[in-house]
Amino acid sequence: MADTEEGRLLAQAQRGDQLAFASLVQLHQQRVFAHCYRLLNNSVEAEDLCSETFLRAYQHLRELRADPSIIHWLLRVAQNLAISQLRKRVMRPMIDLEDIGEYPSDQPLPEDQVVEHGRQEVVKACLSHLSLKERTAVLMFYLEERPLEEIARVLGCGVAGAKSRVHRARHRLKALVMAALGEEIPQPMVEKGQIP
Amino acid sequence: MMSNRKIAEEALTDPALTALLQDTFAHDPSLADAPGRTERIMRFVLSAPRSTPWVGWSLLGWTAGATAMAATLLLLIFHATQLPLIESPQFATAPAQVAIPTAVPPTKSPEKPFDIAARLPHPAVRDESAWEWKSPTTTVAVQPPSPWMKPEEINTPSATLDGRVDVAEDTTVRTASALNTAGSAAYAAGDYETAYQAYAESYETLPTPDTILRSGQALQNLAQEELTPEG
Repeated sequence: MADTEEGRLLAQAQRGDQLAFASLVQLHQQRVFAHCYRLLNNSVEAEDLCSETFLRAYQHLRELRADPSIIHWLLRVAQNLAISQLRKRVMRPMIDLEDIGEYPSDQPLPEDQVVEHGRQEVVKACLSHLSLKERTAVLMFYLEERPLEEIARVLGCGVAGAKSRVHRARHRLKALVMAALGEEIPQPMVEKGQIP
Repeated sequence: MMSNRKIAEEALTDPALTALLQDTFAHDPSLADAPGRTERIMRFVLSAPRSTPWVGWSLLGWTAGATAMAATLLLLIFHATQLPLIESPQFATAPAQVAIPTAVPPTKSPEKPFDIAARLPHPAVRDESAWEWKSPTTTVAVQPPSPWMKPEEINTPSATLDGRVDVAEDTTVRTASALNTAGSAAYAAGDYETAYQAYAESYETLPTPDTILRSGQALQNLAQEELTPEG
């Protein structure tokens, strides 16, 4: 059983076994990284955030419980770190505010973005307009197809709170996508792929 | 039978949105397996310091800074208004406790002012050594004048701006010089009384600091001679 194996590794890591902790990292690093990447839409920042998340886990190793899995704790830490990262982005914008007025026509319209970057980039841009908790909720529920209990653990709220957040995020995201694409969200053309 | 939670999840289900999101991230190369990520993470984890003591120091620094700023602000307000910091009815009966003292009471009895004249051995003669602290058992030895402490040259008559020598002044200088010479001779012979008289007359004729010093020394030696019992 995976849970049993994780619990055994966690117990060994808590006794100071660094190899056991490395096994835990190996077990969860892909999902933590994917979560960070989807929240931030930046692979370099996601790598840093992923490392920082496991560092926090190592520093709080004695407090960790495999009940049922440490992945919820890891995703929650990653989400809080992502919030800090986004705050830093707001405080340190990529371009000067004075430069915005100089070339407004250079910024592509949403319609142009569709042609230039494709539908995937538009959806990512629409996701970035959601709050981080809404983003987490909608990605976990619709993309990863996780149950509401798990989403509630990661968000740090009750199941009802997670449900309302999923509901609100779904409507906001659909409205944003429709505004950007100028059409209803198309029905799936292919079977669901395997998501990491 | 489906639970309420399952029903709620069914109600939220949106296959179109699920397909759109899966299509968005399915072919993202960033999400592919990255070899060596576990090693990178472990290197980062093991090389980072485990404790974060800066948090405590930072908190301490902020607290100290805030306290200092608050104290400075209070002081500024207090000095600006010149009012007592606490004003409440319970202090109204004892205004002296909060009032600013206007004068500080003396901590010791006033002393007699320093009397310069009393330290002078003679009305016309001042002894500079009286200003220095001396042990009561130490006897004052007369030191010959050192070469770098030559007395003022008083034998040379002064000249006016046009080069002519004033005759009256020349006479005074000569008289004082003669008296000084006589005083020095008497002093060298141990006749301090004569030396003192000669120096005093010289000072009356032409007052110079050197004459004062010499007369004072002679008078002091005379007093010691009188006080010392002859044996």
